[in-house]
Amino acid sequence: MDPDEFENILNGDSDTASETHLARLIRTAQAPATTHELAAEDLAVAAFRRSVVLGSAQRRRVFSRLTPLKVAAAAAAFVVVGGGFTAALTHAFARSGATTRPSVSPATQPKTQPNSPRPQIAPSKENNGPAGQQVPSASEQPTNVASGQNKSKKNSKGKHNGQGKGMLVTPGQVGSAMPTSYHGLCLSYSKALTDLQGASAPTTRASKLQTSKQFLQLAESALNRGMTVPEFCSMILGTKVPNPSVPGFGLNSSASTGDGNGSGSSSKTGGQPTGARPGPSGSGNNGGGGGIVSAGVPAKLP
Amino acid sequence: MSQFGIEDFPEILQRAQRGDEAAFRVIYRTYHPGLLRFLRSRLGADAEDVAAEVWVSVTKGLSKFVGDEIDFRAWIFATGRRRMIDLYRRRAVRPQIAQEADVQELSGIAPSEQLEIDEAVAALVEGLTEEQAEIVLLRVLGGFSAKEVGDLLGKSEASIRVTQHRALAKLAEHLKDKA
Repeated sequence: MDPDEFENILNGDSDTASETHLARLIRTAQAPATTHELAAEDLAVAAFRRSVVLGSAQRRRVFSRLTPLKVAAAAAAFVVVGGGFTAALTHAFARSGATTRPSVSPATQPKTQPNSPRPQIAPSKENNGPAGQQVPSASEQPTNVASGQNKSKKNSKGKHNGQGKGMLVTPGQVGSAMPTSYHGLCLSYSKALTDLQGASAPTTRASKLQTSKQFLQLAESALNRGMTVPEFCSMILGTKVPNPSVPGFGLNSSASTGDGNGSGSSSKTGGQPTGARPGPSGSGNNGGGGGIVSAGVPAKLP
Repeated sequence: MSQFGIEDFPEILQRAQRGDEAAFRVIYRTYHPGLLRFLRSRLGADAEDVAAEVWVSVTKGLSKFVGDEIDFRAWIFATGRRRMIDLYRRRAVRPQIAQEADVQELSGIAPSEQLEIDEAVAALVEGLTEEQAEIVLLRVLGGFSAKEVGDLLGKSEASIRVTQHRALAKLAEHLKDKA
């Protein structure tokens, strides 16, 4: 018997006499299902039903498990995108503030740049008046402070009223609210002081710095907060800025009683208010101090 | 081939995958008899349990099944073979061809037609080696072609044809002698 004949038998196509018995066996083996064989059908259907129910429940569970993940992913995406947008905005504002500030006068700045991150100072009489008390120069001449309203020097015992009143920015907010230009000014100021520590004569940098409009603005801001410029700059920079009023500072040997917040009274030493840094006019005076700073307010160099 | 498959298999499968019990019953009635006969000839009394395990596996994997009717049939018989081999290992016994004497035991109180079927299946593999018997049964009861049997057993189509030819020749001789 050749393979093709076997194939025919297996396929049920054989009708020759010799294969009849084998073909009959095969056909019998391939007979339709009997009831006996299908007795377990209901059990199989029950298993099928259970798997369908379990499958749908599992799908629901998977979905419910994924839901918090989806929410978390959406929240993370929102934070990332929103944070990036905010950072970009903040950066843009900081840049615009740093670039435009020098061209704006302090008097008009709050009006012209309402969105500026510069600390806004509520106008008050107390802020303007006594501020000058902190800046008496050694030569008893009115210092050229930015406020320009300090004409009287008799209130040497008067309270300094600029200590925090009306200020919208607290020291804790320095990093985010201070104009970035102050940072640079303070850096320059700190460097100038460092230079002066070892110098016998005021440096050009120091002279230029303290006569600049921006520095006066910085000094005014410091005064409005009841601080000295070194303290103010220390707050902005986060590092200690040398205080020329401290005994032992290269140019200043005179003691200072100024507490920096303007609340203390100035004591006189040698007829001069010591609340102010010696800073007398004229280079070479008193060791060439140059009077770069006096109690936080720049004294104009000659 | 129609006696092994379902004509509108894709639709029936789709309905079963959606949870239609009637469609699943069609599938079960179509494939279970051949699977059970195959397992009975190889496992004897344990065939029912193994067949039940196979259908549990099928119900679990039905929703993910992708393929045509031949693939589905091959999946069922391949699952049956794996379960059968697992049982061999558990029992640590070698597969045995059901003898004539076992047919009565297998059928139990089965009706005469069931007995006739069991006898025919037993006669088909009588005197054959394990490999020959499996190939013949897969071809007769599973309705697979030589190539499909080769795919199931991991052998070439030519090898299956040769083995099958020898098995049927031996069977024909045996039947002639009986006659």
